[in-house]
Amino acid sequence: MPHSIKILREGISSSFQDLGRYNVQYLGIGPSRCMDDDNFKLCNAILHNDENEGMIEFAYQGPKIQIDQATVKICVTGNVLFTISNTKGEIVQGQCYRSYYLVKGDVIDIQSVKDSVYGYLGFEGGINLKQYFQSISVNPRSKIGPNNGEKIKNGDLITLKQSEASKNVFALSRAPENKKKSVIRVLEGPQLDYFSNEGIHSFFHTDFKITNLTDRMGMRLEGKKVELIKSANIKSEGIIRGSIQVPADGQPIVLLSDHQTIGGYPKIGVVITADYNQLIQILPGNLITFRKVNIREAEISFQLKEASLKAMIDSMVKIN
Amino acid sequence: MIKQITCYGDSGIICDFGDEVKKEINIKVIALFKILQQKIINQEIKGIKNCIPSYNKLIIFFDLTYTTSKKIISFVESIAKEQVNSFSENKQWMIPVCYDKEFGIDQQRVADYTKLSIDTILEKHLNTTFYIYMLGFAPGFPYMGDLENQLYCPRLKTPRVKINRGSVIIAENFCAIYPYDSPGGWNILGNTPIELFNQDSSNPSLFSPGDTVKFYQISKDEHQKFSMKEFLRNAS
Repeated sequence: MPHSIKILREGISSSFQDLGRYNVQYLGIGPSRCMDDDNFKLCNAILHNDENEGMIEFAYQGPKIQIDQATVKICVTGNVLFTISNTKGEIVQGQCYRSYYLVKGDVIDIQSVKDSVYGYLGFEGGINLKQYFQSISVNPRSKIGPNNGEKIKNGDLITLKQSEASKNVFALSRAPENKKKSVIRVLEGPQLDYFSNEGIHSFFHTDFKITNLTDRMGMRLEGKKVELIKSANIKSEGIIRGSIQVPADGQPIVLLSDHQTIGGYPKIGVVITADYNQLIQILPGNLITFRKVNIREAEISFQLKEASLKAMIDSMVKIN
Repeated sequence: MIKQITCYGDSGIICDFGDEVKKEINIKVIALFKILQQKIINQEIKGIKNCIPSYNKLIIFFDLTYTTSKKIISFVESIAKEQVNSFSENKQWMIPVCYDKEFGIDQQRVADYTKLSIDTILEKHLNTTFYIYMLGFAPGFPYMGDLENQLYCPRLKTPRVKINRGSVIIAENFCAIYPYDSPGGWNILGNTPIELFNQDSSNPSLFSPGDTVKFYQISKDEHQKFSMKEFLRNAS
């Protein structure tokens, strides 16, 4: 099969992702999963793809790609600056949350994200990739997934499932607002009794800085030491996305989509599902605070978030 | 059976079977894990995305789109009652290991710490039937116990940057095998030519939690000539 697009520049951290790989964590295989479910789902919705169709996730600076087949339809979601240029040298500034009908020779240059970390580039019909355990998500640390479990590299040739695109293009009339969030809601973690009262108090009442040691696996925070009263080791147990563990140095780490399958540090909190997407979009260097909520608030917030996502998808209109 | 069920975030629950790292406790964890896997396949319960057994806990991760912690907890409570310990599918593996000095670079360290001769250490290692408590850390990585107390040796103070794939390693009361080259701080006793994990295989992980492993010694020459295909043919 001939390839459809060529990677001219890989970007800082670009990889194939979908909604994750499940029912194999007991074998030591983590769920992976796109970092921002909402932008992932919106991208597929705008392209009329299945909700879980795989696409390219990028961070900070995205890839630059060239269209090598007759026609392709793409969409970019997130808060992203990008351009589309053609063989005549004409360049247009791209808009997120709308699809583009592109032809051979066109180049998409995803220059950077704005006040955020992750963005998505999807293709109508999806990318032709082999699924591993029912998912195309790539985990480069454990070498799981298609593309030999590796990130996207300069010169990679990618084949799409569709060799030509449909002409109509669509856009959301109501796109996500780029509101900045600094308060992240969490539920109490399973090892709260490992921490001193002071430690718990400083965790819920002081600011933490997101450090540069943050990637798809974890977000390392820096702030007032969260004091432990027991050993900093527990019997290793299964890990869930959004868990906040505290090693002996008292500096919390939020475990993100590429987390290990089991872990042995006590967990003081767990980020609620409704706030996860917002957390991972906050740039390193910013301050965040954690607010304790109960499970009822967490569940209601999730339903509200899903309703708002659905309203955005319902706001989609054909633009030509 | 289950001592306590608690929430783990809004999308998870923890079934706690007791505090200790003990085979008898882990057997119960894995029994519940296997029943749940079956119920998920039979679609008797919606929304469960991962069941993760560890020494003394079973953690269940689910999708809030389809269910809630309340529903999952009452489902687990209802099946925990009917639970039986059936272990027919657990496999007993015979795994080749080469203790050549070139591989077993920490044999002397373990001997110094335990005050046992290297021969005694290797003999004890060969005579132990290991039980796989769980897989994790890396795909296919087995946490195997229990190494007898006489062989207790702590991890290296400074982990090595690279430990070769197939390294058979011990630390404290546990034994493990590295599926890939990886950093690590365990003591290396030998090396196995076995392939523990291959994502392209129809059966990607050789081991499952609850399986047992006994090692048998091979020479360096046999290690070199080892064929995984032949091993799997003989194992089935």
